[in-house]
Amino acid sequence: MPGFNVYVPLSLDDALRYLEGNPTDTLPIAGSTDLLPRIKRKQVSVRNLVDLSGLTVLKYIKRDQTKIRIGALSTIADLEEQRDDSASGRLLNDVTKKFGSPNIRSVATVGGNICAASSSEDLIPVFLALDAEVRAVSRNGAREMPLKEFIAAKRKTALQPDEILAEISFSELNARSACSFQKLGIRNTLIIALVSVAVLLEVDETRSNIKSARIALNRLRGKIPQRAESVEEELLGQRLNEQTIRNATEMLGDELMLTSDFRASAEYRHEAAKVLFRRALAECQASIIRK
Amino acid sequence: MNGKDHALIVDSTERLLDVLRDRLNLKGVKEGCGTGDCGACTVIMDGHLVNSCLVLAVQARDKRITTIEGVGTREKLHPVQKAIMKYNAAQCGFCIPAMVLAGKNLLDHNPTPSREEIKEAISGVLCRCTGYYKLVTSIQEAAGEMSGVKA
Repeated sequence: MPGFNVYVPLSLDDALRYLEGNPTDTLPIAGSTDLLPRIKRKQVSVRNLVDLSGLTVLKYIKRDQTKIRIGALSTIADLEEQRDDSASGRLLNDVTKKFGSPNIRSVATVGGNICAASSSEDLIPVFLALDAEVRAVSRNGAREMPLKEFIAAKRKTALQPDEILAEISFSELNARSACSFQKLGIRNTLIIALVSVAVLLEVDETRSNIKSARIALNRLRGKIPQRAESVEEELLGQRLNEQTIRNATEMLGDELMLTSDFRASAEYRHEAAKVLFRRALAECQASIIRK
Repeated sequence: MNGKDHALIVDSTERLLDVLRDRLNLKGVKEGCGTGDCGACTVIMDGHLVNSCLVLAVQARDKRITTIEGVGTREKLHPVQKAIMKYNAAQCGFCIPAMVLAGKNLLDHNPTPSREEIKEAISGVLCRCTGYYKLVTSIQEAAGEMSGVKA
């Protein structure tokens, strides 16, 4: 393991003070499940780590009028344990069940997963589909922005060296919503997603027409999670039936621009993305019919 | 650590795994991959399964930790350990400490798990020998014994 120092802050302010005073070669660490392996493999060079794992002030999941606010140091296990029967609650249960392994979920944090900013991070497509906003804090104050803006490029976020991600929030979904999260890897658990898809559908009062659709994939046209906006637009006002699902799946196929790597070929990812998207739509449809 | 307090001075790069094996001489925890992908290094930390290869020693401050050495004794094995022996569920044994801890932690939280729930509980620990079936049965039997119901 390459050498580094670890600073254990006594409070959030203490952590921010330390980051402000050490703007280079310094990174925050929490669950360590993404960062430690990368440090070992020398993919990241760091001199100082700030251990945020004890800052329980950022560990919360709360409802604030119509918004759900999740503290960035909430673990995936914390998310798993929340029993919320709303559409968004079920979507979060869906993704946490498929996230890593129980061992990883115990310590991995929501903030860590988002700041890792890659197509392997399961929470990002889900929060993109939820139109989530993030809040970054520093000693100079706080700033909020849509998650879409926060993820600038592969493994690059809008976070400044003296900031940490404090919270992610999204608006509650209305009762006529259904969601689905699909993930494909080489086995059932402990997998990196080759393809992952989050779909959120809202229907009208008749429950037969799509009022809005939000679709996010771990990779669409590049190496970071994105919303499939043209497919979303196409689905507006359509009847939620087999024909619509088939057309939307074909259209997604036309939108995809994927690449091959050592894990899977572009062709495989392309076909798998269509299948997962189709399944997600079908699951949403089934859930709407059931209600 | 298994019911006893320890005060240690550690290096910043030491992992909990290193402290357990090298400083506290608890060799039951294994390093299978060092990247959190195999679960052989599993310990229970504050009631949760964690990969000790991914916990910096400093992050384990003030935590309650249980390793396999803290589960059962030769004279009084934990029901999960007894069942693994009964069913010959172990082959090379490398994953067994982690499997026992995963089974014990599950039963501490959920005394009557389904087979599916047992599989999910051990899904963070890879076994290259057995195909998992007998390990799941062992945990199921232990659940039955602990709750007084035949599996």
